[in-house]
Amino acid sequence: MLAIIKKEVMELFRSVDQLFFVILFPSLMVFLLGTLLEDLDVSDYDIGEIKLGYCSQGQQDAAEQYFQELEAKGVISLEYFDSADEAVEQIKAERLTACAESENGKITLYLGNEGIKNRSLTAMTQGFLYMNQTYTACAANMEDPMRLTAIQPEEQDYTKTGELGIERSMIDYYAVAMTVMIMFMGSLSGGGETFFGEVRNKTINKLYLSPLSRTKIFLAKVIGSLPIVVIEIAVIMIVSTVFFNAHYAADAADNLLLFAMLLSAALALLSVGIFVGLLLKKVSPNGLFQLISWIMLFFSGSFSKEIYIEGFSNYLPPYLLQQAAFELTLFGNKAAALQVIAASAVILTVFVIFGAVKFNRKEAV
Amino acid sequence: MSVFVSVKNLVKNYGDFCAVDNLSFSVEKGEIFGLLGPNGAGKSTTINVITTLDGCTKGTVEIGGMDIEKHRTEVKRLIGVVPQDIAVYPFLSAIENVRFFASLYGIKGKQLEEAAKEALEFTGLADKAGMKPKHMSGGMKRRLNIACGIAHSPKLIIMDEPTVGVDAQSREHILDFIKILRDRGATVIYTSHYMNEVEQLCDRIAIIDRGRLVACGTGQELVSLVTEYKSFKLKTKIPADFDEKQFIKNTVSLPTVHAVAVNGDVITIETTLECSDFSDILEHIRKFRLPVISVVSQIPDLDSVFLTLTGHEMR
Repeated sequence: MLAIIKKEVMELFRSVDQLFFVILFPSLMVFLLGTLLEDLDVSDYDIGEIKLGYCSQGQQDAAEQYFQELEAKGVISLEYFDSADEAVEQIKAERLTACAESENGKITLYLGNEGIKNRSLTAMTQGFLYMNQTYTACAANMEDPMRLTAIQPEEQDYTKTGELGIERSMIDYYAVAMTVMIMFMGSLSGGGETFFGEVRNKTINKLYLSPLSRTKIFLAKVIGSLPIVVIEIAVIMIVSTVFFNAHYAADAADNLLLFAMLLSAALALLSVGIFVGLLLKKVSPNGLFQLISWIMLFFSGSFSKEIYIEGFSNYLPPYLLQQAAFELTLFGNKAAALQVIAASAVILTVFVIFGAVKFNRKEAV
Repeated sequence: MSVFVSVKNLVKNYGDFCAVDNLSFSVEKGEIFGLLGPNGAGKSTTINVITTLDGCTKGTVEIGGMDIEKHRTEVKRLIGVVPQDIAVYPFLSAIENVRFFASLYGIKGKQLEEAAKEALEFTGLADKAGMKPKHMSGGMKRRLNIACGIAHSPKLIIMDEPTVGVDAQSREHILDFIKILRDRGATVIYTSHYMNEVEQLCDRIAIIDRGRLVACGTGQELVSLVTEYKSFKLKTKIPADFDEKQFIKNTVSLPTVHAVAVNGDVITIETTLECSDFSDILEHIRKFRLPVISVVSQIPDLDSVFLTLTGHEMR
């Protein structure tokens, strides 16, 4: 058995194809999308110049003084207008970011199309309103300048985090989702290829011919496939953490539990992949599982700090795995992760038994 | 010699199709036994049953005195298979491949290392131990395929067309290896489509067709099944006063001659298969003052035996 396990590991490190899918592909995915998200995060802080138009119907009021102080501190640049309509024209021409109109203790913000600047101005105005309770405010956007009685934040975080002491960035969410996705795809495809590779090399019959029992051969192949998945998960987690400063769980114990959860899920998926791979005769398991995985991942949806992609069903395995991973990493809730480990153990046991029975009955090629 | 492989009344059905039909033969210990048959004759099925890759519907197979159904694991330890397809791992080096296959048979440590090196040396690949199969020529891959099949020193080696697609030099080497293996005490079951190879190599040959044993014996015994005679054509210059009738009458009266025909300057003489000395016949020809320009012997070979026994139609 050890000989087969050793051979599997040796093959992994010698095969350029396998190394690409196990190490380079996940690293590349993390690198490309991680860089992109890092830039998005940077852009969140890099607000740029805010040009605020200001018009007041009466004498200088507290709001005007407030904005003037902001201008003096270099936070915004201020331009005065006689009417809001005049300022709105400038906003439409993208010469102004927004306009604040102050009238009888009521501030109306006319916002342009630059979301981050709008958010900053909204925050500044909200701060002023909090300090100066005599003012009320309303907001209007350029498309539908309907006056509101209170400023509504333009965007909301779709996911909230627990008080775990981590300031989450986009890459944190992405790293967790990506780890689950790569593990899901890699385990299923890897499982399917386990025996198909032997058929392709025409070595399967030589394994059958050896004095080892088929059950032992089957188990050795299953165990031999495990390093591929372990390396795959470890590579994504390490690359995300080291190169992109991604955070998984808040402490080492939870990170270990996350790894255990991913590993047990990977083993379960591997056993499913192996079993289905044994049933296939003409279709390449890798191609089939890649297709199934992409479809499942597409319909499962995902979420991050500011993006929510609604899935077709919340009960698809990739979604459930993501949920459990997020529950653990964002809130420190271990229950879902433990449920995944328990369910994976059951699936693994069932499919290893089915797989071993099927392998024992399989005819020579 | 004792019987090492005994196949008795072997039947293998796939649904309604009978691939092997009541086949019986035995292979002596230390002999090279050829298994011949046209495509679909049942050779591969028979080999699959002998090697335990496949079960049989009826009948028994014993190897080394053990029933393969009852002593599957022990029997597997006795067998080494060199498949027709090159069955090696492309990302492992030659020695790693040999080591891996030998280790499946429980060989470990120093013994494993020695067995792997010896198998590579035996097949002439010692200096290519670190080379990966993808960088090897066709002949080298074939030799590696053999090394992987014999490294665990099996008592019975089953070779399924091991020379397919290799050049004459590599083929010659492979055939020499097989003879050495036999001389070392291994029993070899050998299948091939190259009749001259089988004729040259095998001590005994079985021809099977449609799942049944058609013939079994030494090369000469098989030839004698289809004809009792061999012939040779003699080219001469017939003189004007040549008495053809007298020549034929006198020649046929020679003890080893069966028939004579004269066609222009070519004389065809049929002799018994046992006749190996033509000096009497040539002396007789000279008495008739016939010059011998050339002589071509026409001994029936395994090809003609095979075609006679299995038919000429395509399968």
